[in-house]
Amino acid sequence: MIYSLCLVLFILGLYCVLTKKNLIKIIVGLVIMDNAVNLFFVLLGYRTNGTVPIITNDAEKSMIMQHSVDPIPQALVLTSIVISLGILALMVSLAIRLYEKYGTFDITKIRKLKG
Amino acid sequence: MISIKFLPLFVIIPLGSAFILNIFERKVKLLTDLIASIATGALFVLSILMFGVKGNYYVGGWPSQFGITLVIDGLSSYMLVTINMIAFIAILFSINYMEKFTFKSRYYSLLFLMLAGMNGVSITGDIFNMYVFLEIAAIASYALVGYGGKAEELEASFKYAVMGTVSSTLILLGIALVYSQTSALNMAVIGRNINTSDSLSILALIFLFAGFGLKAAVVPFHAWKGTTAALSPKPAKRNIRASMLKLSEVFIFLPITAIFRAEV
Repeated sequence: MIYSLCLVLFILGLYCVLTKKNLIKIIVGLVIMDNAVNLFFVLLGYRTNGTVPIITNDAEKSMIMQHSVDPIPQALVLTSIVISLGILALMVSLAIRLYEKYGTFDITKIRKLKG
Repeated sequence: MISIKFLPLFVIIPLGSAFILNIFERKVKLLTDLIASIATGALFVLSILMFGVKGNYYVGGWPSQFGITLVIDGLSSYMLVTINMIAFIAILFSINYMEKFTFKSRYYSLLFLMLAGMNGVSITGDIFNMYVFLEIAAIASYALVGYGGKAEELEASFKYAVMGTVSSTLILLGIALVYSQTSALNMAVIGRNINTSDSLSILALIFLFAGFGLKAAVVPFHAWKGTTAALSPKPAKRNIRASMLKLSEVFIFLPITAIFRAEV
């Protein structure tokens, strides 16, 4: 159930990218999509009432396997957040330069390219 | 002499020279051209010498279940020769061609970052590491498309960035689904463990295919390519872009053949 909510968020972001005409709103839609996937990834490793995955002695090893939260998705999501921050910075700066050139954020008026 | 130990150099050399180049921009202008040509030339020679070498390199000495593995096999040695040859020729071409732009060393930096990403995608054996390298190459190429700063170039760059970001989000969703099925990120381990008759695996395959297909502009997703790829104004850049697109096109078939075996 909770996983399908992530998919709803993803579709919402995709709808925003496909239908909005403002450059900034398109960027916001992309960020929503990124965050939906990050949320999904973290949820994959989540376990209700799970423990912290830190091993202090050998006896805890089997306990960790059965009761702890999976730490790998959290590490991956951390990387993914940094990547999406880089894309966000690049796209916002591109939008500023486009505003300087065209004087508008409207994607239907930014049409010097054919097609 | 030449052994598997030299494999990480394909990422280290371009990533290092991307940042070293900027130091010499103010002082000695000739040195940037020289370093760029020598670095790409060395990579080209190394890729030819490595042709035919097969094996795994374990980064940091971790075994393949825990760490990142770099793999060189028939396909990746062929891709390495192609990519590094094109990069060497593009650098030689742009020594004169890029004179009319300011900050030539920043152009070189972006090109080297892109080269590092593309070499990394070819040699990595870890599915999330592949995503990271793909994003390094993609972000550098978004910036390269808009490098001239003209209105059309910025517009093409923005369109390309929107398409690329949507496709990499789809790829990440596919990777998440694959991880949920197998609890592994190594491609060989995934290939052994995945249950291809499961419907979630099919869903992961669909997301991965949609993501790589959008990135490579293969037939169902080809409509956007004509505006940006044909319009990037510099020939050197266009060659690099084309090889990048072809690269991810080849990589569509890797998840299908290596991970999802013939039964799908």
